Parts: sequence; structure tokens; C-alpha cells
Amino acid sequence: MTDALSRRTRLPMLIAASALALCFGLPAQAEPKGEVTMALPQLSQLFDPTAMVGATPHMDFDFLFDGLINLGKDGKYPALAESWVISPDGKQIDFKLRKGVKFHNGDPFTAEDVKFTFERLMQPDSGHAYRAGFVESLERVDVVDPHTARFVLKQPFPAFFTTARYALTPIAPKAYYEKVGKQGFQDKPIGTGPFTLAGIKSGEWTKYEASPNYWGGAPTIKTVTQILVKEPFTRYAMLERGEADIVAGLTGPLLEKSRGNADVGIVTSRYSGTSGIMFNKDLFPQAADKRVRLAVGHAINRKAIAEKIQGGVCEPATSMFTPGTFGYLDGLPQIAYDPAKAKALLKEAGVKPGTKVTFTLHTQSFAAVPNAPQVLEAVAGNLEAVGFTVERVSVDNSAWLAMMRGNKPTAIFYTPISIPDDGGEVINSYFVSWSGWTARSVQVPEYDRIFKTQIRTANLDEREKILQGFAKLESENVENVPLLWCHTPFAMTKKRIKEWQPALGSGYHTSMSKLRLK
Amino acid sequence: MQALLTMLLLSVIVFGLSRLSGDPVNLMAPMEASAEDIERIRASLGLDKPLIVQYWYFVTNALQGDFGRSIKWDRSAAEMLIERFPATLWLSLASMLLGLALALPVGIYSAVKRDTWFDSAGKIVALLGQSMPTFWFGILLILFFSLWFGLLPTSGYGLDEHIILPTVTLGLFVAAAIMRVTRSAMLDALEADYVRTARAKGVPEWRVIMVHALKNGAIPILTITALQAATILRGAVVTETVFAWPGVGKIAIDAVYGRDFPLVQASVLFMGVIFLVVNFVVDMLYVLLDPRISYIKR
Repeated sequence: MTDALSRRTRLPMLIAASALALCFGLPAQAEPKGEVTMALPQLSQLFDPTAMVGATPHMDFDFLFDGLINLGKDGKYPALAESWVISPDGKQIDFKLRKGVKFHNGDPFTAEDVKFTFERLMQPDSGHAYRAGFVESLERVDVVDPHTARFVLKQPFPAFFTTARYALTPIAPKAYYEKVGKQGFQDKPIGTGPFTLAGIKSGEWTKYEASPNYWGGAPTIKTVTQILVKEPFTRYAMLERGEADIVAGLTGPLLEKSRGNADVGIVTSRYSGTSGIMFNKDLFPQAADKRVRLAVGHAINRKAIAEKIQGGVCEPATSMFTPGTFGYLDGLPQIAYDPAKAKALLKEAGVKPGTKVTFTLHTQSFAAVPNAPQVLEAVAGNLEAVGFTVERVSVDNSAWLAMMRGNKPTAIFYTPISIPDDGGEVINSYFVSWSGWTARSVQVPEYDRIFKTQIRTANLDEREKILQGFAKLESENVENVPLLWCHTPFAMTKKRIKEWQPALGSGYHTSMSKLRLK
Repeated sequence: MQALLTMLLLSVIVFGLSRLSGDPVNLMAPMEASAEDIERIRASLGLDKPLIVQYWYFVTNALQGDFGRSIKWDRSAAEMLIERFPATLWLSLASMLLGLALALPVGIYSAVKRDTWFDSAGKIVALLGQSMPTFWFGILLILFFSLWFGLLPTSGYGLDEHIILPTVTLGLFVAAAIMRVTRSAMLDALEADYVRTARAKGVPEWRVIMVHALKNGAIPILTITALQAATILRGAVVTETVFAWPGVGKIAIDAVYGRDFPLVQASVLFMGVIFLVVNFVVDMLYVLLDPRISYIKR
């Protein structure tokens, strides 16, 4: 299930425009028409791609911009770059750029724009969330000719092609950006994307209008309006009354109710999140014993959580890598729900019934784990059922991030990842010895070695094997107890929408240009 | 002077509480951001400076109408609030009018018809109105009037059918409190000597109630009405969120969750100013209603 681009890039280093790219590039025949309204629990209105603050802005970038590579329902595909050549030492990448592409103001897209975007986001004051990753690998971008951009690298950068945060970097228009400045660009952003910004009310709604001259073919719908509606029941009611065509963030009973409605269809961004359970060994030293970690694995009823709490939008995980992650290894065993075995393992490891542990209860949900508060409460209940005395530590997003960044997670804590598309990044987040998210509780030299090797392995086939090796090793070590793989659900009206499938592996990429109305 | 001191105190509380509630940089920076990246973002927002310096900038800029830019929406916080104020104003006015329209007649009539079925029904309505959480009542209204009967839109903004459900949600809550106080104020007034005297003089009963009793019972009613103005602002935070009503309350709650300091500070101070203005107007009305009250030192 690893995405299309990853599969394609393994054998030849030279990537030509493929059938897949052509498929995405086919111009639509009909004029855009019709309106679609989306009621969303969150909204992003930060339009400067060179100052990207995280994954959320992809909610608007996906409309206005293209990257060298884009993300669609089948995974990543060549977009503004038609093809690329990687040098044998992996330290140079020549991108052949798509010709005839124009920004929304009519300016032509050239290699100057590519150079401008990447070099600007690497500036120390850019505020770009993923700047560090680029600075570590990218020396500079050279303009070979108007349609060829060359990445001159400090070290091989294979993750560029497999990681959304790098690959999907939206390309900003150099001339326009320099003319209007940072603030001017935020006020009136333009890109090469399938939609233009048609209207905005800060903190309330954003309206996009189809760009009729989009290089990939004009979208079939004329306008898309994203409305911020925090209350889940209101979003559901909007869908049922026809005030909204697409609704995000429905879980539990409301999702069930949507499923029971013949006029409503549920579609998902597949494998948009993954999660596991980890241990702060400073607070819970007994977790150094694999039997204890395994016992926690056997204590958790993932299937019941996925079905009863998540309404089927999640499934029990076999590793932190999902089938959509580059480096995923199929066939790993799942830790079965077996409370009796959990109790036996705890007894064997000398963990007495009633042992006190702290456990994080996140009061808000990430895209990685819909309904996180209820899920985590269920996990806490499962832990109590096998004999732990669980002290719940409730935190909202900000407090959770402060806790994790401060290297002070609870004794047992959960490890969510949104857009888990690259195994190397998953290892970097939770498995290397220097990770800032695990209270340095994972100290496995082999993991560090694997991380350092894969990051410099330009050959994607070899890199995938290395990552799969990690997955196998971790499955035996169980430093992290796999919890759930989640698929961001969207409910849509079947009365108006004929066909729509959001992107693979990200709940922020909605691929609205491919939506078809009846 | 008192108002200025109150505002100053409010600014200290808002500033202090928003800093205590957490660090917005934690929300802004991605998971893998290095300590250096986090410090850079913090510096770009001016959060690396000592608190007293941050507060000084905040107050001096606020005095010039500059509350900074919203971290989450990258727009002037003051502009965002001004843009939203009409929505909150209309909702508050409509709710207050509805509340008074319900509470005064029912409260007065309950007092006149004390211990009858009408009085009991009024008490039950008041109790329900006060005990039902606003968000729950709002959701019930959406369920009944939008989904089941299909009469009204679920959410959105407009001084048409869109304002009805949010107004009823807030209005009923307001009505309940005013109704209770109106009833007891009228009960006291109706038992007063001057009412007995008026009746003995043969003044028509309607005039006894609406002029003699109501005027004298108006002070507590006015006080509770002023207090309910504050309740409306508080309730607007929840009601606006449930009905996606684009007012100050909705953006404030979003700002709190996002640790959007400039917007939190601006919206709370904004509401503080409104509350002070309402109190000032009420103080003036006291003078009109009761000649014994005067704010001029003799």
C-alpha cells in the first residue's frame, strides 16, 4: 500500500512522466460548475508556504498551490516536476519542470520560483516548521535553465520523495511574492493550484474558486467554501439538512448516525494517523522489562476501541508504520487482547497488582487519533483491568506538547503521528535515543544506527529494506506497543456528490479538484 | 476613574492568566522542532522578553488600539473583533429583548396571581431556564427546529431566520433569571403600604400594578437585567460556538484553545469594556428611577 511515487522511484533513478502523472494531468472537459460547502472542526488561513507552521495549512495549500510532488488518493505523484534525475552519489537532484504552467496572475512558473521557495523557507527567520530538515540536507537550489532546477545537497535526501513535509512543499511565485511582500502575500495569495482564493472571513470561512486554466485540468466544481463549525452536532445537522455537503470530524454516535443515513456516504483519508503506547522508564522503571511492555500490549482491547469508540475509522495496528508508510512490513504479528496473559506477564516480571502509574489523557484530538479522549480513557480502563492503579493526567494540546517537549511524559503515554508516510520520520520521532518525545526512554543503539543509515541511503529500494528491518526488530523488542491505524473520516451527502476520495495518508489533503457532483 | 482602574486591573489579570495558561509556541512549532527553532519562534512573537516588558508593550500598544496580530489567523486582533462586534451586539440585543419580553409579563403576572397554576408554571420555566446548560439547550433546539421540523437553519449568520435559534437559546436563559427577580420584587411591592393606599383610593388595579408597584420594584429588576447583560456575553461564547455565529465569543474561545494571546487579550478586554459601559448605563438609570440615588457629592 506504500504510495505510488515510492513504488515508482525505486528501480530507475530517472523518473519520466508516468502514466500516473498523465492520468492526473488529463484536462477535464466540462466547465467548472456547482458549489460545495465543507463544515470543518478546524480551519487554516495561513497562506504563505515559505512560512508553513505545520501540517494543518495543507488544508488551504492543497487548493492554491502545487508542489514539485502532489498528494492524491493513490499517494504522491509528480506535479510541477515532471521528472527528476538523482546523481549516483545521491547529492544532486535535477528536477525537470512542467512547461506551460502559470500562476493565478498569469506569470509563468519557472525554476526561479523553485529556487526562491526552498531558499526562502531555509532562511533562519522564515518560521517554516520543517526548515531544520531542509537545512540539514539541502545546500542550495541552482537554476540550470527556466525548466530545470537543481538541488545541490549536503547529503543524500531520500526522505524528500517519501515524506509529505518535504515532498509536498508548495511552490510560491517569486516575482509576485517579492512585489507584494510577506503580508501582501498572506492577504492575496496566488499559486499554480487548481483553485484561487475567492473570499475569506478570518476565523470563520474561506472560499475558493476553480482556476479554469489549471495545468492538471480545471476542477469540475466552481466553488468550495470551508466553514469553521466547532460543534460536532451542528456539523452533523448541517449535513443532514443540506447546509453542508461535506463534514469532517464526526466520531462515535454521530458517525454511526451518518452511516445509518442512506443519503450520507463516509469516505476516509486512509492511513492518515498512527499511534502507539510508550513508557517513561524514569517514572516506571519496570517497563525496561519487555514482559511488562508486552503485558500492556495484551491488556489493550484495540478491536473494541476501534469498533465501539472509533466507529470503525481506525483499526488495530501491528506497528507504528502503517500500510501507507514507506518502510512498512507486511505480516507482523498483532499483540492479541489477552488480559489473563497480561496479568501473568506482570506477575512474572514482579509488577504487583495495584502498582501506580501515571497516564496521559489528551482532552483534544489529533488527526492521528480521532476521539482521543475516549480512546485514552478506554486504554486507562484496560490498564486498570489488569491490575494497574492509573492516575490520569489530563492535558489539552498545548499542555501535551509542553509536557512532551519538556521530556516529561507520564509513566505510560500515547504516541500519535499524523501523516505517517515515512518510516524514517517515525523512527526519528519516537525511537532514536536522542528523541525529544520519549524522555530518552528508548536506548537501542541498533535503532540509532538504522536511522543514520537509512537517512543517507539514496536508493529507495535499499532504504525501504532498512526500514522494514527496523519494523521487524521493533516488533520483537516492543519498545512501543502499537495501538491504532486511523483513517480520517469525512461524511458527504450522496444527494449531490457523485464521486470523491480524499488523499492517501493525510486528513489535510482533500483533493477537492477531483470531486464530481451529480 | 474607577472604570479606568478596573480596566487596568483587568488587563493585568488577562495578561497574567493568558501567560499562565500555556505557551502558544508549543502549538505552533511542529513535533520535531529543535529547541533553537522554538526559541526563534518565541522571539519572533516577543515572548522571549521579560513578562513586565511584554506587559508594558501590551498596555502601551492597547492604548493606541493595537492589540497585535492574531497568531492563528495572522490578522490584526482589533480588526477581527471590530468585524465581529455587530454579530455579538445583535445577538445580545435580540436575546435581551426576548428575555425581557418573556420575563416581565410572566414575572409580574406570577406575582399578581401568586400560588396559582400560572405562578407554578412560571417557577418551573424559570428553574428549567436557569438549570439547562446553554450548549445543551442550543443542541436541542437544532434537533427539534432544524432536523425534526425542518423550520430553521442550524447555524450561520444573518438578521433573519438565522438569529432565531441562538436568540431563543440565550434569551430563555436570561428570561429565567429576570423572571424570578421580577416576581419577588413585585411580591414585595404589592404588599407595601403605598399599594394598599392606592387601592384604598380606588386607583384601577392595572395602574396599581404597572405604575405604583412596578416602578418601585424596578431597581432589583434593573440590577438583575444588568447582571444578565454580562451573562449574555458569557453565554454568547457558548451559543456562538454551537450555532457557528461569527461573533466575539466564538473567536474568543477559539483563541483560548489556540493560546492566541493577542486575540485572547483583545477579546477579554473588549468584553470588559462592554460590561463597564453597561454598568455605567445602569447606574445612570438608577438615578432616573429613584430620585434618592445620586452620584454627585454634596
